[in-house]
Amino acid sequence: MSFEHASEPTAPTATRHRPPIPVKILVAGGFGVGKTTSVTSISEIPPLRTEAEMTSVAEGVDDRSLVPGKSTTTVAMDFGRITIDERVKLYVFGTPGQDRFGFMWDDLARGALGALVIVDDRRLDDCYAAVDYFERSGIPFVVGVNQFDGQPTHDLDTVRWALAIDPSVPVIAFDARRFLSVRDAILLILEKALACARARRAARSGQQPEGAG
Amino acid sequence: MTRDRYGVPLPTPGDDAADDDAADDDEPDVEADRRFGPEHLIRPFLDDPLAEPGSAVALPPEQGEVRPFLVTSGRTTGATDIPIETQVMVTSLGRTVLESLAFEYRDIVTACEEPLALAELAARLSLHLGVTRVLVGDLHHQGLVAAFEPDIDPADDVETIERMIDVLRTRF
Repeated sequence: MSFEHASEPTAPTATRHRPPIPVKILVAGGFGVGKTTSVTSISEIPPLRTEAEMTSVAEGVDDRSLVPGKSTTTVAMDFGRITIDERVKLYVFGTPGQDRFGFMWDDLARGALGALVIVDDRRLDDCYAAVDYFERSGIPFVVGVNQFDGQPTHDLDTVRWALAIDPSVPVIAFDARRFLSVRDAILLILEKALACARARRAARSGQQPEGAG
Repeated sequence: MTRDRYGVPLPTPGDDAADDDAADDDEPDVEADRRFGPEHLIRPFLDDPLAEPGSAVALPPEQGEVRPFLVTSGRTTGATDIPIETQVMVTSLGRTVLESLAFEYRDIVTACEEPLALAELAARLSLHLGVTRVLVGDLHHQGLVAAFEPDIDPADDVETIERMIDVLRTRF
């Protein structure tokens, strides 16, 4: 890519203003599970919506026989923004979700710091595609069980067992309608991301002496 | 009566009466030619790589009149594959040639006076994300907007993540 680097003067014609660093967090999960509600709760601006092309892989047997391989679908994507300071803007993108399709979120997920996978514990299997995706891509994620009407159907240990996720993945109960609840979920994602960043830094500095010596 | 290919009556050379009649139509004819003449179906600045800033400013304003649905010429990929969160911002060259830009191009350059993410631009202008990416790629290619790639990868930057945690925890 031939983008300008924010740290250097880009061109004689470009402004000297240094733009903020965009940081991206994804909110994923099944249809109607509270993704847009979460984005709306946490965003400092009214949530924005844009249409995007998503590459989809048909999962149903009948679909696959008719449409071999991939197809593209236009989906609506909601997102919000939190200005951390003049240097960092946090974007929260709701990933479009549909029951019958496992979307390939590569375009959306590239460079993402982490993800919140929202679960409706009455329809656990709706989130499998998202969990699979983030496990494969290595993006740190947190599972949030959305408290519809306050009463969870299952306790969190049961949800963890049913999802068969790594013990290091936090499973929390949260309320997509409450700002502080979504904020806490995002803090957990950031702490996961921080641990990953520290581990990578340690790995790098651990390799350096070997390389030098 | 002679008509051009768009059905607009043309004045007959040497015919005084026709010249008189055509006098009233003269203005609309020029206008129609300006809008529909094949030489004007070229998007501003896109075909010639911008050699120097001055050449863009010299373009007459009417060349900015483009049919909006031709605006990406059916292309679905831009010159660069710009991530959706990329901060897009107008350059001083973009400000200078703003008046000569057409429709979506002008909207984009106007909107990103403040740095905006590609996805924010798409949402604000009610444009498809893919279309916005192509148009921003064009503008970026021509030096009218800057698309900034951060000099750090936030996912690897411990200090940035720590600052985010600190701000989110203490501000609210």
